[in-house]
Amino acid sequence: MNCTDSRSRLHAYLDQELDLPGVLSIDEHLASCEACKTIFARQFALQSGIRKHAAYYTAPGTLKERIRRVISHTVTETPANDVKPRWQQPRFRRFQLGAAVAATALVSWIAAIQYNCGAKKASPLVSR
Amino acid sequence: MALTRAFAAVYVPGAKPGQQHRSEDQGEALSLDERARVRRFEAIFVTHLDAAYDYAHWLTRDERNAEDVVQEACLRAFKFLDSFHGEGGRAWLLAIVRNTYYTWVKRNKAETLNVSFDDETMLANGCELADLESTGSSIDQVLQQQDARRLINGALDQLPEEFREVIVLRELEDMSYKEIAAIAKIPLGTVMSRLARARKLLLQHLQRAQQESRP
Repeated sequence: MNCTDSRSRLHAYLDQELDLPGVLSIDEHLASCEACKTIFARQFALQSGIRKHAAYYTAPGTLKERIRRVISHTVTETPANDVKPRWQQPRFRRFQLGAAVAATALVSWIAAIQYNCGAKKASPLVSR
Repeated sequence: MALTRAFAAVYVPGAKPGQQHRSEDQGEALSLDERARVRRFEAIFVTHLDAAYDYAHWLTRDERNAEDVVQEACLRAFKFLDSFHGEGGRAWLLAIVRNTYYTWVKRNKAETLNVSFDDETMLANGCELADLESTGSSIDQVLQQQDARRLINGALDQLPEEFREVIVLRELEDMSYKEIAAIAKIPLGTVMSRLARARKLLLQHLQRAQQESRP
């Protein structure tokens, strides 16, 4: 690896976005190139400096309260039209499925009985 | 957890599954789906609220505006919660914060002027971008100064917005290139080039600050 290749991957190396072979090839180059080593060291120092000194703004407690109120208001202000009707709710959907299965079974049972009765009546004619 | 208690006020204690309930305080019906949505939102929201606020603060550079943006973003996140699937709740929320911020900028365009230095400004001032190879001064010396915190935050504050946001996402929120690309809606290559440019500008700014502080 030459200096141009090494420096083109500087930031990916710094941000741990390179794969292992990429990291190893840069490590190898840095071990023998003082100029690149200086540049990389400066970037590392900058990154460490930002992570150490840059302000991290944490959300104030009052904001959490505000958001809580807004969400609560949104939920409770849901118009009646937006609330799903009972027949679309999961419990009633399960009930609908059960009712459909039961109805199918009933129809099949009735059809089977009628078929058997018809067969018994027809059998004497067949024997004649 | 305060937020859990807060949301519990919206829930109906002892409600049977599937039962439509009328809260005495709110007097409104809450479906099972609504309660599940609130709980799901809480799980994402509580964990990542600080990240959302920090990102919004660096974008708006103002406490009150950051609060407004995060509040609006959380409301949007709640409304569009069904569109969120799988992992990456933080990146998802930050992407909404970003979208909300740009909506807010459009709404307050007359009041908001993004004053920042950029390459052209610097060149106009006769300050050419420092070449990394030619700079003799060490960044370590700057960072060891007592006011290193002020210098770093000042330099970040003056970065153009598109550079500042990638630095904040990378260094403060520890986002990967892929996550930054998804949040900022830019290609992976642009993430890399913006990070490189941002770091170059920061170094240049810090070195100039060091030169100015010399007697």
